[in-house]
Amino acid sequence: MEIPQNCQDVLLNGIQHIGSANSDLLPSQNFAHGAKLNLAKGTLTIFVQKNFCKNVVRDSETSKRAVFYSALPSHEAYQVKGDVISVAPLSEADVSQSQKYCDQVIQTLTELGLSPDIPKKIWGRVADTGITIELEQIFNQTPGPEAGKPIS
Amino acid sequence: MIKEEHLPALQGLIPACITTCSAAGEPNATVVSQVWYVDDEHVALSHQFFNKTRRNISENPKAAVMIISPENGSAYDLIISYERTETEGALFDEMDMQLEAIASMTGMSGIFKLLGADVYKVESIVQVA
Repeated sequence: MEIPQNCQDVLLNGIQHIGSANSDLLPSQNFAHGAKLNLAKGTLTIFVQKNFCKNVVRDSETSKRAVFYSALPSHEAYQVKGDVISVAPLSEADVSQSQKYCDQVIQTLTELGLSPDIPKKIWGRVADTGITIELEQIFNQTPGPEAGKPIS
Repeated sequence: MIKEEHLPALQGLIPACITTCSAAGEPNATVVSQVWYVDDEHVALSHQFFNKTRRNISENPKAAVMIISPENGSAYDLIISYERTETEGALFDEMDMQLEAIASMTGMSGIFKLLGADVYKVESIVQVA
């Protein structure tokens, strides 16, 4: 799948959420702590802290469907939908990448006027689990006339 | 259900994220501009666009919403269930005024337009951070 560079930038650097649903169609969600694209394999690995995202991790292991939403403060946003390929512990390199992402989010939100203690409550955590999904569909979620349209 | 400690997170200062699920089991996540306190058991969400969230809610009324307090960063995960949409009256007018203010502050004037105030019953609130 070809993904425009601006879309990749938003997916990897925006405020990220992961969503899921259980077999009773009850949705769950939480913040993600970074992500990694593998364009050659057509996958996206979403970094989460298992204890923080226990419902999403449980759903991902059972219902096998997940969504990933990422938005910049400018409102540019995209959503990825796909089947869950794996739920696995993160490598040291991935943990390091996640920590860089979280530091960047804390810095961005602090520059927007929030006290650093506020974003640290969510992004001052260490991710330990990667939920890898297939890059099946990506939708433009930026408010406006293109919202909801697939980019791929 | 909704307590005083939750109210700062319902002021609309930090956008909330909502996840819904279609009847076929397909989740969908997006941002919602307003999660408005109606009473101790209800919140209203701004309905601005005819989109996948609306279609999912028509098939399956359950949704998960994450709200964050701008005062201390506490995050709450709400499970809510759709009840009705109001397109006029005091609730609609108050949300419309706040949405216009949010749009003006965020450069989204002319894009953010309130089509309805979707009222949901709050089934649970769990503090996650």
